[in-house]
Amino acid sequence: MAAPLEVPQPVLNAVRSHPGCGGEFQFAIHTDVRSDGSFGEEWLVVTAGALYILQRLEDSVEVSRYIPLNTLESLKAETMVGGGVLYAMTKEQTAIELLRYSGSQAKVFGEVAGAVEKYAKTGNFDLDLSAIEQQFCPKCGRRLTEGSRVCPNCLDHGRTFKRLMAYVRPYRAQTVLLVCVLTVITAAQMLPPYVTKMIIDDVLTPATTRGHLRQMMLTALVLILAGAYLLRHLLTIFSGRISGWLGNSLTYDIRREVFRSLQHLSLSYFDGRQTGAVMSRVNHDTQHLHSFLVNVLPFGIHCILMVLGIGAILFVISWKITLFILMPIPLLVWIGRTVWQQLHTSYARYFERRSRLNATVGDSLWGIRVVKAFSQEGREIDRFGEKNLDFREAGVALEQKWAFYMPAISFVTMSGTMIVWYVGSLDVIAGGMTLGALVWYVGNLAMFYGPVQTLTNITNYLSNALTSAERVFEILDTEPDIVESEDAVDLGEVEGNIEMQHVTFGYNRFQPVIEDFSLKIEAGETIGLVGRSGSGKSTIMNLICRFYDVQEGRVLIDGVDIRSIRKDSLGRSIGVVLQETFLFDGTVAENISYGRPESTLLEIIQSAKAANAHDFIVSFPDGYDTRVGERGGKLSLGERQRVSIARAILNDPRILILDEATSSVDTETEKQIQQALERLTRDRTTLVIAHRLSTLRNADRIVVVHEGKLAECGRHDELMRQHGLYYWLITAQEVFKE
Amino acid sequence: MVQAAAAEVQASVMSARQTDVSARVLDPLSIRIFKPDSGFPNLIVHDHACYTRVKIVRCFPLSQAENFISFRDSENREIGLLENLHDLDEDSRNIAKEELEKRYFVSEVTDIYSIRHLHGAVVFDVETNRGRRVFDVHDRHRNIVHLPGGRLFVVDGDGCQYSISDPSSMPTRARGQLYKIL
Repeated sequence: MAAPLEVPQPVLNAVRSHPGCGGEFQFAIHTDVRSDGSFGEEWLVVTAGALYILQRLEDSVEVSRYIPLNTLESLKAETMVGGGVLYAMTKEQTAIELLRYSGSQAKVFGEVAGAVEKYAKTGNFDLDLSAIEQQFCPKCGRRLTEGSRVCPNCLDHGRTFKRLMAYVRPYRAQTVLLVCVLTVITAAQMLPPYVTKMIIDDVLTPATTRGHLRQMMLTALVLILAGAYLLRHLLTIFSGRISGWLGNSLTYDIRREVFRSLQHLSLSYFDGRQTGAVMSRVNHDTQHLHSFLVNVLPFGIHCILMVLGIGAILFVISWKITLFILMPIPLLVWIGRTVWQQLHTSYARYFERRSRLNATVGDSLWGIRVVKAFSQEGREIDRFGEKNLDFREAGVALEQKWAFYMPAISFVTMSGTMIVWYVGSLDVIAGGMTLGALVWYVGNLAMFYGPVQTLTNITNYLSNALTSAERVFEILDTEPDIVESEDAVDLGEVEGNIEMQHVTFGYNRFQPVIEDFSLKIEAGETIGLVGRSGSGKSTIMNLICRFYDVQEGRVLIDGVDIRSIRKDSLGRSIGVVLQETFLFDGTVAENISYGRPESTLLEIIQSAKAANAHDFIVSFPDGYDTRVGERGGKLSLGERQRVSIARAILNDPRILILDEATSSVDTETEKQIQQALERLTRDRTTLVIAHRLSTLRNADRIVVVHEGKLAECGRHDELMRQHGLYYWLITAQEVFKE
Repeated sequence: MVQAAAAEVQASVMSARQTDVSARVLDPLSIRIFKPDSGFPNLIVHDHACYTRVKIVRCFPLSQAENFISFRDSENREIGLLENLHDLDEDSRNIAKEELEKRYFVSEVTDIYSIRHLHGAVVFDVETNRGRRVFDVHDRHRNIVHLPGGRLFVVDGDGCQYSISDPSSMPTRARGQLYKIL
């Protein structure tokens, strides 16, 4: 039988030599925890006929468990705290613990359990661990940041840098201009020490020049000096303006592309990531890029030019002394990198403790009523005292490190200067060098060590910037899951018939949330969807809206598969009112007309009236021009719901998907919302996840969903008479309300 | 399956109608835990009530690992609380400890080889009571927790848990490494 790759030979031999062995190798995997709880390997091997658990002993591998697949009822991966257990349930209802694993392998064994159980029942082995493997870098194995495939450790900096520089192409002229200006600035910076040399050697040294000529030369040289300083400062202003404009333009372009890409990505992208993490890419990562492009990169270029230019000058003045001044550089670099690393750690501690202190203060002050109600002022003072002390310690440690770092760097650079004075002076005394040349040399030295030291740390900034760039590019490179087919059709006038035919779907491929689900809804029908939490109600909504594509089966609208319908046509046909009402930061009018920006003001008002929102909107000082605030925060819950209903009414969809809010509002508002909903759902095909008894009573049919399947279907009264799942769900709702 | 779901909802309704919500503290002398062939622990209370497939759960996993142990039935309803694990008979105690050790996979750090900051994560290379382990911690503010008594609790990127019971008693090198994050 063929053996899978990467399975150690002793493991394969142990399976082959087992008396019960037979059939093709299907799969093998090892855990990271042994049965005794220590870290180590134990293997699960699946063949055509059986399942084996193998333990590695000192000199051998032994089969510790053997389970014929035809005795297997199910395989479960029970995830616990920090780890989990894989166990098999036999047909005799005996549970057999197979393997233990740490949290690192929880997801893997979740998939493995599903795949092996399915194989035991159907004979088809299908396991896809790519989604889990994508959480780890394929090169170094390090865990990647949630929702990202960028490994900062293995990043191909060159490739990313090239890609980043591709954004510079439209701004070639400005970039070339900037580099030229920086070059001129560098040259202007190198001029004063040379002029100083000339003043000393050609003006101040007596024997060389006659009286009035000396005066003229002095005036000219000082004017040149002044000119060089003035030019340098003017060009610095100019280069700052160019680099500011350039950096901002580049990040503008990148930010625009990122946001555009995000808008076109499917919902599944956002499900797998925290909103904060995605926002961080748009804001924080692009900001990081911005500060790198505007500040760090131009300064870095300037430092490189300085090091090269001044290094060349120093070499020309005296190659002998230059060899000496290179001696402190390794120490300078070492101090820079080592102490910087320690400083970085100290800063991390400092910020961490400051954060904890702020959290304590915030906690205590926000909760001051509770503190006073329970008379815990003393305890809060002690808590603050501890954090305050920790913060002080971290601050002192940080300042002490800085107190060492700056003088240490200064001492190393001074040592270079002292070497130059000594060796150079000997050369001047011997007549091999003029005094002016020596002063010129010393003047250049300060401008040499500074950039060298800066460049030792610039790699950190570069590395961080490229990591940010790659995380941004990751979004640009992500393809949406839901793609419009080339021959997609426009539905035109929609009647509103919906049909789900043997639909199977799971957010995780091996854990279907909806399984073989079929439902036919006639145009104009109101269907109430009921079921326990996690039964699949919201998933049904998501599939009809085509936020996700089905894995098996079809969803049809007016007989057309929704995968063949144009996205904009589908969007016009289906209106959605979600449980958590979301309003954008704009005016009330803008929110109501969000789906149809071309609506007239009268249409907006009419929609608001139908949603029982017009009266409260008009009562605002700014009426329909009232800004609702971030996420509609300035409106109450009931007001937000009604604005959201008005938005759906204005869109005038034939099909309505409604997820009833469960949050309670006052009776009057509740009545208003109910009325608004009735007007909204009239003459429309409506699918509502219902929580209100009144909604359920008025529905044409109620569909009870249980574990992704259609459990019961009928009108409210008939289902109540059946005393089945629906009956108890309604009863439970009433009991818990009391 | 639908009938089972209906029965479950019915049970929760009945339970909601009950008025007694006080915690039931079990007498350690009157309970016994054993493991039959099924592989799941069973609990016998007062020699007559037998609960199968019992879950054993800590109420205070971080601060009181051996106190206030909750025994839960197969429907995840609490059977009762045990105040102290040590009050059980030896066999029952061993089974309970075994189940708790499986449920709470926490490794005790005995030495630290290195702690490095790397690209926003803190990378630990440590020796534990289970063997050597290298792991990443992200969001250190949330995942490196200082517990009362100086104990440190660390959760890595995979949800694996590590405990440093007494940082001050660790070897000098380990303490030097810990300084980077304390």
